Amino acid sequence: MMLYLLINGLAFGSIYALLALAMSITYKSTDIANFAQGELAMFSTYIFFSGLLLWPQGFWLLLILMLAFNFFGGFLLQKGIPTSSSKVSMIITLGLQMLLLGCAGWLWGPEPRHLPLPFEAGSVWFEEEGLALSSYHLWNLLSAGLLLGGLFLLMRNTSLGLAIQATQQHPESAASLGLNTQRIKAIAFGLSALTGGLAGMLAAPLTPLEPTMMWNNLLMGFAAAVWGGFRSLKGAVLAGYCLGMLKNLLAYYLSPDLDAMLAFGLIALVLLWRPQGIWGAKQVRNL
Amino acid sequence: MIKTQGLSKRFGGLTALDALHLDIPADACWGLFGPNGSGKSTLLHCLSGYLEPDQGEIWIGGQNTRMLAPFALAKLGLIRGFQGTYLVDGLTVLEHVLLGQHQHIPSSFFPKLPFLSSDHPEKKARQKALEWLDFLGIADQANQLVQRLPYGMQRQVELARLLAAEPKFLLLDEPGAGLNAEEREAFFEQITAARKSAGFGLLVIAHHFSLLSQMADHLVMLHQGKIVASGPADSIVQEAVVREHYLL
Repeated sequence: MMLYLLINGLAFGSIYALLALAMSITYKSTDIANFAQGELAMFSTYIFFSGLLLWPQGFWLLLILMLAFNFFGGFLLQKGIPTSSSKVSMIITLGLQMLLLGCAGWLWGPEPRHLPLPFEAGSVWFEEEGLALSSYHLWNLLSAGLLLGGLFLLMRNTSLGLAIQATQQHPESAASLGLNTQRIKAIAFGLSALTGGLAGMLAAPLTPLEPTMMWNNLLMGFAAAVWGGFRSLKGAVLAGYCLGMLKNLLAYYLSPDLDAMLAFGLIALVLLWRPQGIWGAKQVRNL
Repeated sequence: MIKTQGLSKRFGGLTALDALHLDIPADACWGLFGPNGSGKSTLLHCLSGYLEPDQGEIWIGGQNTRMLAPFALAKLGLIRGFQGTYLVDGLTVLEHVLLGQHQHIPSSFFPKLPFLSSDHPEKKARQKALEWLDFLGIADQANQLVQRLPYGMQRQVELARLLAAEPKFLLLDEPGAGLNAEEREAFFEQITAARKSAGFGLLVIAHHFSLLSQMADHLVMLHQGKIVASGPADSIVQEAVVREHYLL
């Protein structure tokens, strides 16, 4: 039982981890908390869904196209958001969130849809007391793990990753070395949208595809990002997975309606007790 | 290499730079000094594209650069250092110096794969970075995280990173700040040695007149945004205004 709860929790956790990472990347690079992160993911998942309706065999190619679409969408979005004030930018992302919600409702309707996967989602891989871990869990864990691993390799081991890290910490001094910090910020935004996009794609079979599908997920992702200090990428991912497992344990042993309480409780606790995040270092600003 | 004409910058009622004319040859080493608030750092900010001047023009290598962003100026070979260290937590010494090389290597997603040939640009960059670290005598720290190093060494990493950017002209803002007298002298010697080896021009701000006059072949004193003395080190010490401020 415990094993089921934990693995199932990890599967949910990978969605939260991806969203938390996406939000942290954006925040770290541009000081913008992108509240439209979830709806961007929802919207791109709908587009992916429409693509699948037209071309049911093209799952993998469409998936790659969807991720690329997200990357360029995020890249262009950063160029469009004024960077003069992060407060203004945050309000803009809130507006974007509403806009995307409205558009999705208008284009695809409010009724929940089913996002088909190219493999049998019900096939049992592990069964105990009537609870089953499906290949869906495996797909969820693997694809999130792959993307996260790839991102961390990119950040650690490539000149682009180094440039992103330098731009995140000291944009002025990075620019003086010839780094085009505006473009690097846009690339970071693109990577963040790509990460969030995969989260939407993974969430769709769990919570059916509908305009509000990312609300709860983003809430949990946001809580995980806060838990990780909003500036620690590793922290955000770890917190996402922990939160997924915690949520599952709480749902089983207490009540399944405690998601929001857990998320907001954690946000409040972390902000009171360790505002820099569990793994975050205190932010020192050079004046 | 660097030319300004009528360069002015005001902050509200304060005139930080007052119609400055400068003409710095490409291979020269100029020292900039003056009391606090005299406009030295403002001048550096304007030259390197971090502040837009209110009036006047700037030419770098014959090109008017008044409206260019800092990274575009860096691509022209104008590299600047900042006061203090701006090192990136979590990166190693070598990675910092590689950052300096960034504009000279095309981005690649697979740099650390072992089967890359030796003329791969990223490998070359690594080689160059190590050479600069060796030049400054900190090659043995290459894989150390920068936040673990003592301050003096962090300054050297900062310098190595600027050198790796292959400046044609380098601007330094108080490179000796925070170092003790001995470290400062050694650091200035390293800067001079690097300049001789790589052959770039240098404009350096410093408070330590004696060190500055040893290093620079031309000194400029700023006061209230104006040039009040300018000339070779041995003649500038004769100027009354310099003697007044620096008690020579």
